[in-house]
Amino acid sequence: MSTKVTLSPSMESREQAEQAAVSWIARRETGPWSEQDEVAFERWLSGSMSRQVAYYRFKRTWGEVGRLGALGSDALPEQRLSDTFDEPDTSQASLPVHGSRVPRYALVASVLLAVVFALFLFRNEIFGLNSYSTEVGGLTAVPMADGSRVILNTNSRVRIVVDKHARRIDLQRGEAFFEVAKDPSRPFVVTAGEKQIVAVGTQFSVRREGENIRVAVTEGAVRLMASPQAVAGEQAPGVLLSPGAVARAERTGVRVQEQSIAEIEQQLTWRTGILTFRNTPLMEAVAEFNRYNERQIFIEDPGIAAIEVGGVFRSTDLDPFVRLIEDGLSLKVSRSGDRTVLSAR
Amino acid sequence: MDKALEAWFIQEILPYEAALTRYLAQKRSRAHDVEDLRNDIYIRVLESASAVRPTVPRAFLFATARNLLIDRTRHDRVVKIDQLEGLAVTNVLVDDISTEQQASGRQQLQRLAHLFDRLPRRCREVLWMRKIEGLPQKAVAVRLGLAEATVEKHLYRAVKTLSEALNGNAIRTDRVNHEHESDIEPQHGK
Repeated sequence: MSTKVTLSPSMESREQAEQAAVSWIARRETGPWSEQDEVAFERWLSGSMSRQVAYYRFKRTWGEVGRLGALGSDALPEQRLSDTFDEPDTSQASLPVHGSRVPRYALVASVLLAVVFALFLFRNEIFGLNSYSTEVGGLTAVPMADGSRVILNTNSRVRIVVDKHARRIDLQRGEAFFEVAKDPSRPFVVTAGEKQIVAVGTQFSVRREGENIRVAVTEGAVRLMASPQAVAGEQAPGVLLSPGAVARAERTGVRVQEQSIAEIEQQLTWRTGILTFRNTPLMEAVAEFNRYNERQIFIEDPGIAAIEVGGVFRSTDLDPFVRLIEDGLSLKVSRSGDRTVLSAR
Repeated sequence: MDKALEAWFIQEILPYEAALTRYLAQKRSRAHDVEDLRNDIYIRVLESASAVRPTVPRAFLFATARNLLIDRTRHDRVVKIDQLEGLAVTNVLVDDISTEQQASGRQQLQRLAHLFDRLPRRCREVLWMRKIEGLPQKAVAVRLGLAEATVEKHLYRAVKTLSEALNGNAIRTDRVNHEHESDIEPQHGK
């Protein structure tokens, strides 16, 4: 018999795996959910195939149950929860009410009303309001309730609001990569200053520097809406960006450039803490490093700014990069405290 | 976590769960056995698919089911001829799924609502608050005056019951169904 299936830790039963799966699914969606939870969850899931089966199956059911909400939020809670109280209430038996049913109905009605009212009140509380930020050199992944994921680059800040109608992310500063779970009923809207990027199911990054933004799309399609004032009086139609598109939106307008996915992916290696340069002007490479480190590099000599450099580096580890410049390009490097100055020899 | 595998499994394999469960229920009489068996079949499918995705998922699923059943039957050493013969009807059984899937979205929703209504009261409340209202477990526990662990149990029971009812053709509720093997016949005729 094939019993190689029991890779599962400590001979966990199928039912135990199933119970845990439901709890994970629900918690992941309604929170609270931290990065540690995500790690613990991934570890749990990869623990056995049985867990994966349970997780996938119930995730599907869970998704289907969500459709009940489509029956209308008015009709359901009252109606479906109304027979909540149809079970005999034993506490009533001890009360000397002489079979008079009126008090009992009154009680039921008032309790019911309270429940409905509470549900109604609570409805607003589910619209979670969350801010996430990273320090210089930081990198973090934020799982969202809808299954989407936001990867925050160095020195960045987002605010995430998910409700039943939309998923809104406000990129307040820095850069983020978005892996958007498909959900046509809830558009995924990233706001950066006055600009908006709208997606349904896709992967893209947005980098913000003041009011200038740069959007790179690796999968699916997004719509970039420049500032509403750009087109006087009427709604700006926006620019549709497909995979390979890199758009820069500045005050003067939007410029779209086509790149290969490989090139874009290369620019997105920051998601794993890596910076990749290929024929990159020294000035640009230095500017990149400066985003990730308190220790700043300065180019003293304009003559060396255009020298092209290449390589793969840890974004928060300056030394290998500086050493490469020092040895490989024979430039002069002087260090003092948090300042590293590059100049020609 | 392999997102692609997850999506593939949910979209290509799980839609056949009702048919698979019915097929297994004809071979095994206890619901618990059917669930275990189905679990093992899914594990085999996932193991293979994580290396190479089969080109025709449903054929692969039922071939896997059949092989596993043959393995188990041999192992049990109670080889009943009808059991092995019955295994050959896979194709017929697989075919009637397409009609199931054609049920309109509205019908599916009605069925879901109907099943939801039949859940035990606590299960229904907990599921509604957790999934539709999106309340955290703690909030639900406070609201219903229950321990969190109890809320968790109700939620599990709700999701489990709905899963089986939606896809497993309610093995738990209508036990009659798999008591007579001749159940296959009418399906042939369709």
